Amino acid sequence: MGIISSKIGDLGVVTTTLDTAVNWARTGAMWPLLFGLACCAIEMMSTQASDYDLSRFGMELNRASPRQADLIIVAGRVTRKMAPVIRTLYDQMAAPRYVLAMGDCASCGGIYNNYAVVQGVDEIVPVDVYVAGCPPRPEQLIHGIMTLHERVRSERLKTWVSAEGVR
Amino acid sequence: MVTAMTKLVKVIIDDREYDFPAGMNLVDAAKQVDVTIPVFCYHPKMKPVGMCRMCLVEVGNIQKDRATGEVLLDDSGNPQIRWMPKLQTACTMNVSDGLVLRSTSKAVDEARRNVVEFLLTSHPLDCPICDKGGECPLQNQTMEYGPGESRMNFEDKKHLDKHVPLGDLIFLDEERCIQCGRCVRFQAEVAGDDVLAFHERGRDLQIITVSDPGFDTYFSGNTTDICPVGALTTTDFRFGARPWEMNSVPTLCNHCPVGCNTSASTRLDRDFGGKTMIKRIMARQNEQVNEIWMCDKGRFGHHFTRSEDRLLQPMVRAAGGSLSRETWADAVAAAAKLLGDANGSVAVIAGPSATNEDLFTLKQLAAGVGSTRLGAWPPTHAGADLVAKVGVGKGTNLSNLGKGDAVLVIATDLEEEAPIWRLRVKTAHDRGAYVVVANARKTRMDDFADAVTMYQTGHAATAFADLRKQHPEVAERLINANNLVVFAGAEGLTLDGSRALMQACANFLIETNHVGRANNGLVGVFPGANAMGQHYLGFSPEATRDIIANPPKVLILAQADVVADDPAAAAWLSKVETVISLSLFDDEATRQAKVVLPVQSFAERDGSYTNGERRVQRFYTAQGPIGEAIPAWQAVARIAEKLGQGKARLSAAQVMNDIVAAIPAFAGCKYSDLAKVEAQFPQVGGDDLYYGGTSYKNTGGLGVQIASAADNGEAVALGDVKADAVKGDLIVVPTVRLYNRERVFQASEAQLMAARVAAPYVEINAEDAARLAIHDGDMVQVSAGAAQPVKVRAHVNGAAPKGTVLLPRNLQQTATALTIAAGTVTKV
Amino acid sequence: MNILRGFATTFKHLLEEPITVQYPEQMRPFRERYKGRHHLRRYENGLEKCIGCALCAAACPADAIWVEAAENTDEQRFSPGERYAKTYEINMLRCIFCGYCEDACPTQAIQLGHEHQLSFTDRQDAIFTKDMLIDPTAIGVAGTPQQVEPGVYTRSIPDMENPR
Repeated sequence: MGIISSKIGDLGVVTTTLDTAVNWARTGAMWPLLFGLACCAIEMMSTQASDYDLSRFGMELNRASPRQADLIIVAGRVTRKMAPVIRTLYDQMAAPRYVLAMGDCASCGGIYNNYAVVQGVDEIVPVDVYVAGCPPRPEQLIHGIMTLHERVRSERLKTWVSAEGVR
Repeated sequence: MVTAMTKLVKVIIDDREYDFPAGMNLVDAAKQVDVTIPVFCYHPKMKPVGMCRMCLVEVGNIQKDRATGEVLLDDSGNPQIRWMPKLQTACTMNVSDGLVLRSTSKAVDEARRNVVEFLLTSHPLDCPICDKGGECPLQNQTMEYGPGESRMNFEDKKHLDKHVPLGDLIFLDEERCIQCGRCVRFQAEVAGDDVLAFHERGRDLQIITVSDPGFDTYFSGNTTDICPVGALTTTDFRFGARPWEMNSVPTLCNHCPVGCNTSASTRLDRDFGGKTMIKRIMARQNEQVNEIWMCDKGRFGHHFTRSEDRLLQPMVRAAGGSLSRETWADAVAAAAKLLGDANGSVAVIAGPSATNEDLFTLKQLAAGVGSTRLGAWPPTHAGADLVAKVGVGKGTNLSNLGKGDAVLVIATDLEEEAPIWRLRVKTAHDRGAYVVVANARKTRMDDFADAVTMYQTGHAATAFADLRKQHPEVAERLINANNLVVFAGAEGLTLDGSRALMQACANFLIETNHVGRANNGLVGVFPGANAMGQHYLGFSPEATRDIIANPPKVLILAQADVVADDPAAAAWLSKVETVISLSLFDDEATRQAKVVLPVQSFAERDGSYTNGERRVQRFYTAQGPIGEAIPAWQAVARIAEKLGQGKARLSAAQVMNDIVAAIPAFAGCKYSDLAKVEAQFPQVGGDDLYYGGTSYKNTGGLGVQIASAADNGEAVALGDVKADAVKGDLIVVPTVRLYNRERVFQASEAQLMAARVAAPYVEINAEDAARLAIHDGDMVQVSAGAAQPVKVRAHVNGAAPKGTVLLPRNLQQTATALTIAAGTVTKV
Repeated sequence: MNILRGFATTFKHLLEEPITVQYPEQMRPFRERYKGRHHLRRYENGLEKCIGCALCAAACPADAIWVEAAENTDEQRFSPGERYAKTYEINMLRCIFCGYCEDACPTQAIQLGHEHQLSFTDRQDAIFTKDMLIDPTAIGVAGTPQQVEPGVYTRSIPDMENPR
């Protein structure tokens, strides 16, 4: 961070524009990973179908490969067995990468308060947006994605590089 | 009680034949064989009254030929049964030979349905906000036996007061009351404090209190347990939580030597930082210790565990002189260094709430640095060693005392010092036991005594030794009793006088052959929960006296609030070079200590106590931790580890294993043994709340009683009684009040019991008062011995005998006389 | 021939209005019984309907509700009767919007509304406190706590009906 900020200096106008441009690009084509876990995935599919049509937000391309995806929608309860898989997928995604916990189970375990289910996917990957609902309606998922876009738009050049590395 | 002698009778319940001991109540009998006869007013601990009519059943008798006694058979070869023409109340009947009972039939079901319907005519639909909702016998039985809907007009429901304070601690909801009278009967029959009564009649019937202050008894909380509806609720728990939200943790009361088994209902709570918190304490069934009762001090006295005065961090006194927060490692290192440098001049004084584990680790630590000076606090009651020799025999149960048995209560005010023993001696008296009370003054126990003998203040031992001369008829009854239990305290006695009394009691028991058997022997009414544990682990009040006389270089104070108890403590404490304080609270002694180690109360940890009847009992972790406090044994073990005495144990259970290995008395007291539970009578432990009122289920264990030396067949010798006496015009006798301002009961004035704690006072005899021109209510200055004089209010109420003033301890922040001493009283 | 029929279908659909709902701008009407975010209701006089009985918490299959009760006085009255909810919290991320709380409520205090826009960037934000859940009072009506005449609000459940 030190190097970048020192090199960029006080280029306020330029970076603001660059921020906006980059964030516009990121929000405009945020490809989700083709990945569903349980009942929430059904609602996720219906969000992508013509009634709600996620492609309006440039998300029509569900990538089956994490290397080509920007967003992982964790749709459904994450079992302990699935947890390492999700972590691997997340690790394989290229930065900037985003995680959306869809529904109660992915957010905090929901009604599955037991040993087999991870009590919130944020135990294994950092979550950007949590969407309540069991399962959430397509509207709720889209609202979650809007919240995520909002968050991405507020990102600044400086935050691209953090102490942990590139995000 | 069922013994081999009891005659068994054949009873047919729901077409199955059973044998029961003759005279057993029908409801109890049915309950024993898992046949439910629902009741509201009947309670297995009280006499039946047959008021609620819920227990109506069909009863008949097998017909027998009058001449031959042969059972008459009907045409199909079955015994002929003559059914009673109407339904009978099972609770007012006892089992008898040939009795036939049908607990379910069309008539019985209809009767129950109607009883419930009538009970509900004016019962409010309060279940959602009622504290009993979820554990309510009426609720359960309405669901089980009641009508689906009522035929009564809802407009006609009677509306009564829902918020009547019966006292400071108990509220009555008149609408919810179903007039079963369990509370009134408990107070009259079991507790002996007849302070509740019925008022008006019919539909206007109400429960009222007839005492001033209201509901003036130490046992009021029990009425909320046995109440079959939510009519009686405690101020402490009102709307605190719903029953299904709470966990029940077996624990022990740590206030007095009875060692009542209790359960703490716990729940997470925002007021306690989101940690698990004790919401209420209820009695847990242990028929040999507290049956199903407990006193209000135990029930409501758990708030001190969350007091603001609790110590949160270890502290070490810096060179500059002020205490500063340290990490545990540093504080332990500082303590270890002090002990290591003391050259063996180390002593320990342990308070009465220190557990067996704490005491054992302290003993080992002291031994490791070359000291055997282990003092018990407070140094007022001697003779625990005699209790270990001739204490009540293994298997003693005060509930078994009755006709032909005798109880002697000497030099103690049982009501104030050990209320549940007072209650159990009272019920023994009701069953026909011969109860003798001997004291220098009138006590509450006199109300339940067959004989009261007074002696001159301070002369308990000589008076008792002379009992055969002075009161031959009383002595005769005691000597000839089948069983004899002696409760001996130390009221109005010096430490030596206390030993003399205990020796006199022991001699009497040995001479009259009342030792080494169940229900016979000596019980010391010691202060605190673990005085017997102190004895078995080597702590003695005589050692404390020696420590005070010859101050060591390093003194470890383990949960002993010496400055609050002893007016001379500040003086002798200043002669000790270094004090290491293991304390719950930020008390005076702690403020003078070099190293302060915060320890956990009974609520936050595992441990065990040895009660006055020498029963070792364990308690479990109920509440979330406070600050960085750890169990005392752990803190001590860490110091010992630092001194190279071996690795600290990981759990209290392991420490107990060490105790079992090291101390023969504790053989068979491993935690797994202490946790054993067996069926008890009456069976009030299950989910069927109708019978006991609430669940007294004991899942934590009944404990193990240590055998006395006499039990083990060891020869017990008589000893010399060396009586001493304090001389003076006026003798100041420190007494004990149950509700006081000790830190382990009430750390702040704002708490629940505050109104019930008496303002500091002194009781003076009328003649003495007249001589000193003191009137009832005057402020007086009392000085006793070398202690600082205290200003208190004089009560001239006939309680004190001539030449004696009674000064209750711990009613104020400054210490008052710890032992009897000559003194003066002057008007200010 | 068949190929023409196929193309005809395609062309027919080309001329139809698109069925896509333009969600953030356009909302599809919700069913009457849709269960969204909760509301704690008030009586017309501003008192809270919730009496802090915690039956909703007992009924909740996801343990999403936390209630701590306290006692009303006529000087500080929150709800009719003796008991009110000192703390009332729902964790929206645990709630499965099953409506059991609504069913369990003896005073119809808790009701599930139609608001559904429940996305959070922090789990802490998902815990809705009593202040967030409770309806605002109507204009000119006092909120809680209120000072009331003694002896008026003695029943927790005002309309006592035969529970047929």
